[in-house]
Order: sequence, then C-alpha cells, then structure tokens
Amino acid sequence: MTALLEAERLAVDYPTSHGRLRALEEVSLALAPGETVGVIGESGSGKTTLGRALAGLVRPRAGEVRFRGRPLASLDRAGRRALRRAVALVFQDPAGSFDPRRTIGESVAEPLTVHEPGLGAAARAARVLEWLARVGLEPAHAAARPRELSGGQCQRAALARAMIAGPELVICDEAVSALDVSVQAGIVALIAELARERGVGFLFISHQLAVVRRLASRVLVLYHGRVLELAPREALFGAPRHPYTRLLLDSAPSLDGPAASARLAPPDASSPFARAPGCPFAARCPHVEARCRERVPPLERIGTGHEVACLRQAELEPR
Amino acid sequence: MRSTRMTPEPLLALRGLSVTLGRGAGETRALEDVSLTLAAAARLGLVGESGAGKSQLALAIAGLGGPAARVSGSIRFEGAELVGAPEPRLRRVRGARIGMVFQDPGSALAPHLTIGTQLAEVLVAHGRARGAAARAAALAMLERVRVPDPAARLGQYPHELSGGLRQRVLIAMALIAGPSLLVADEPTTALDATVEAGILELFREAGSAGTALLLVSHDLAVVAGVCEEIAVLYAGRLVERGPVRAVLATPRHPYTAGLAAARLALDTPLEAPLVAIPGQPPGRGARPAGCAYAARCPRSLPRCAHEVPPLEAAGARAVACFAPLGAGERP
Repeated sequence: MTALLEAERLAVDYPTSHGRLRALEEVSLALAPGETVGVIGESGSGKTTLGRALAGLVRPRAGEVRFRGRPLASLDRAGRRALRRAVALVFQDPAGSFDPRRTIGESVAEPLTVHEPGLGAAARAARVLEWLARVGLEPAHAAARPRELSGGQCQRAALARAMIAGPELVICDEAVSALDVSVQAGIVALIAELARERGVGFLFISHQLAVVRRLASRVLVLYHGRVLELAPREALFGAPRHPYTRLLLDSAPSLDGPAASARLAPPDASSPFARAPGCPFAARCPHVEARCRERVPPLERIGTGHEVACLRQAELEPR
Repeated sequence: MRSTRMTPEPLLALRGLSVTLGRGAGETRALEDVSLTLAAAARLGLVGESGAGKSQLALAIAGLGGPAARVSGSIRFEGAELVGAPEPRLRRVRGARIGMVFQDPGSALAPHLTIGTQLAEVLVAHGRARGAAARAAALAMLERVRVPDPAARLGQYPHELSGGLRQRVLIAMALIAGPSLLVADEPTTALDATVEAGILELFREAGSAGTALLLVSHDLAVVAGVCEEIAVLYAGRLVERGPVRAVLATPRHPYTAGLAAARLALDTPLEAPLVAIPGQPPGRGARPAGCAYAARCPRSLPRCAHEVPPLEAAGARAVACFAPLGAGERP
C-alpha cells in the first residue's frame, strides 16, 4: 500500500543568530492511511519540526517528504491543496489556535470555505453543528468566542475544525498536554473514537508517554533530531531496546513513588549548534563505549517493524 | 481534644484562610476557609485543577499575593502571624525562612546578573554573609543541587543554562539562606520528565535535611514521588487531606477519586475505559451555594446543592463530603 505521507532521510535546519540549528537529521518514516503513530522525545528533540515538515510547513535541507508517493517539492497548486485538505493540525495552546475575534463556528467552518467552496451557507452551518455535536460541544458554542470556552472545550473545537473537511491524517502536537487530567481523558477518548470510526490517521506528538501508549500503534523516539528507535507499541513499551527509550520510560511519573531515573542519566548539557560526532545520546548514556562516540549508529531492524540505532543494543539486558 | 501543651506548635498553620481577588462586582474568592498545618521537615503536596486556588495559597503564604489579593484568616509560621504583618518583617521571612520556587525558571532569575551574584545576593540581603564567604556558600549550594561544573556556572548568566539547570539554580537560591519552609509552585511543570525526576529528588533531600516542603502541583504523581501528605483543593476549598499513599489508594472524596481515575499511567490496561470528570469546575465568580463539586459528582445528594460540607477529620485523614467513598469503593 502506498504510504499517505512518507519522510525519507529528512534533514531540517533552522537558521538562527547563533548559526544553523540542526532540527532533524536522517529521519525516515512512512505513515500508512488510518494509522496512529506516536512521536516521543524531550523538548528540542525535533518532534514539532517533524510534524511541521510532514505537513509541508518547513522546507527540508535534505531528503524529502512524499504525499501519496509524490515529493512535496514537485506538487502543483492542486496537489498542495489536496495535501492541505488531507493533513490537518491541532496544536498545544487551545485558545491561542483560534482567532479571538471570530466565533468558534466561523473558525470551525474555515476548512470548508477553503476545501468545499461550493457548499452553501446553510449546508456549511449544518456541518459545523454536526461536528460540534460529534466532539461533545453544544450548538450554542458556535456563537461563542474562544475566550468563553474552557481549555478542554477549545481543544474539542480544534478537533472539530481539524476533522470537518475530512482529512486523512491529523497531526496533534502536544494537543492534550496543557489540559487538566480530568479533562484530558475525555479528549484522548475522543481522538481514539475519531481514529476508529472515521478511519483517520493521527500523528500524535507528545511528551506524555502514557497518552501516546494509549493512542498509537507505532512509536518513534527522537533525540537531537535523530530517530533512536521505532517500534510497534507493544515492543516499545514492553521491550524497549535503546537506552534513551528506557530512560524516557523510567522517567515517566508514577503514583507508586519516585521515578527510578532520578540518577540514571545526567541532563542534556550539549548545544544544538555544535553536535558531537557519534551517537547523539552518548554523553548521557550509561552504556557508552568509545566506539559510540566515533560514528552515528545506523538504524538496524531487530524485529517486525522494530528498528533501533544503538551499537550495543544486542548486548543490553532485555526487559 | 486540644493538647497544645503536649504538641509543639506546627511550623505552619493556616486557619480559615480566605483570599479575595478584585473589588466590587468583580470580587471573587480564590480561596475559601482553608485550614491546614505542616510540621517541621514535613512534605505536603497540594493538588487540584487549574483555577482551584493552589497558586493563590502558595502566594499567600509567601506574602506575594500582591495588593489585588486580600487575605483574611490566619497564617502562623514559626509561631508568628503573617497575615497583616508589616512588609519589612515579611521581607525578612521571605527568602530567609521561607524559600520559594516557581514554575518558570526563566522569568524568576535576573537576566543581567550572573548566577554567582544572584545566589550571593540572597545571603547579603539577609545579612548572612558577604564577599568571598557568600561566594563560597553559593558554590557549595550549586554542588548540593548537583549543578554540573558549578565553579564555571557562577560566572554564567541565566540564558546560558538549560531550563533544568535554571530550575536547579532557583532551588539553590531558595535553599541558600537555610529556610525552614520551601514553597514550590509547579516547579517541574515546564521541564522534561527526565529532568523532573532529578529535581524532585532535590526536594526529597531538602526535606531530609530539615526543610519542610509545600509542593503545589497539578500532577498526582509528582506529589506521590515527593510528599508524605497530600491536600486536595477544589474551587478554592480543601476537600481532602491525608497521608499520600492512603489518599491515593483509597480516596474518600469523589473528586480525588475522579482525579486518580482520570490519570493515564504506563501500566494502565489499554482496554481500561478513559474516565474524564464530566463538566468543569465553576469559575471563581460562579461558585454555587453548596458543594462546588456537586454538579460534576456522581454521588451528590440533594443537600450537596445548598450546604457546604465541612472538612471532617478521622485519624490522619480528613474529607469534606456528605457522601464520601468507603474503603475500596469506586465513585
């Protein structure tokens, strides 16, 4: 099956006053239609950049993104329009992603005015109400301004806006991170339902591992812009191979007491402008050897859909 | 029941604490009649949703609510009343006896001063040390909070440090004068989990070294990892408190139970239902006459709508609910 979106050896730089910031290096990922893939990693790992690059919002320095097999750089106007319709985005800041002067209904309707310009006003309004209801909002919310909604309600509206023109993929960048847990569970449930009943895929970018585990069937682990591990959910959470993945899992807050990772690895003290050669995690890795600092470990396939970039992965104790 | 002669006065005692914000028609209550105590070297976690009043409570104790926040009731700290105390005395308490750490480590440090200068300044301001002695104490403090390469950090500016390192520096500043109480408001919320674990360890260590902790967090796990006791705020009122393990294992207030059930963990079964708490907390200006949680509560009784349940203690635990959960009962 042709991937809906595919990144191949993608590299993205950001020019800054300190020099070129290397946000992504050699990232390859194919998203099948309807699948939900999670992206995890610490801040600065390149999670957001990957989402933006897949949506065609940043231009890569090297490598390419293909939409249904066609490189984004080669798309004509109609192709770019099809991409924008197929790929919707939901961001972290619920209120900030809406125009404060427009009503929620106007904002939710916006993708329809772009992608279905022939639709009459009454039909458009009906679709808005249908989607507000689907995400658990009231008809009255259509006339409300963003500031009148709570964070959870805004995020429901953002999902309605993302879904209304029938996308094939929704990129959620920390979409539930700013919400209270009592509200978050409802949004996570809504995303799971939308994925199931509409067959839409999600790229779910989050630092909250438990939420990613709940939603994603595959998970990509990024560090310093590189893929360290890519695995099906069961393997990633049940049998993680990369020491960095293990650090992330051990750091997840738990009600059982302090995280085991408190002294497992020193914090990241490196500069994103001067990357050392070798494995990006070498400076923090408890299993580091001299050879790890010499070259970047290649991603190796170690199981079905399971790839890991660690020279020592075969020697590490399984768990 | 009262045995003031037998038990020494707690380090911190809040009694009937209320905080009112705004004036006239815009007047709202951020905190309503909160009473709780904290013993010396004890670690208490304060949890609740956004808008519950957690930060207002932390600010009130630190005397930093500002002119907009009118505080009534009593805050006794080290045997003296803080509510209504003159500002010069509050300034002596702040920093010297009560250390404070807030969420955003970026804005709490002066951008134009080196780390060493800012640390030493705390000691100078409280007349504890100056010059080379203050400098040496600053270095020792950075070592204690495990800032790597501490000698070099003294000469660096805040922007040269990562978020996690800046938060360690802030904890060093909060602890350098040897306070008996550390008030930390969402100190790890802006940090990665890998960094958070190390910061939380510092709070546990400070407790072991004799500094009491009031830790404000929206995250039950943060409190579970650091504190011995937990207090749950809802819409400005304390609804439950007790030993953290007991409260999380057998929550008695339906809100506490709802919070714990809504939380996803890495070992939550994938097929377990996702249980959000329906609705949202009432805004500060729209608190109902009775229990503020009644509209969202699956156990609410008719009286909950017009009567505020008092916080009633039983042993080490206390709950403010007319229909509390029994041991092991689900809401």
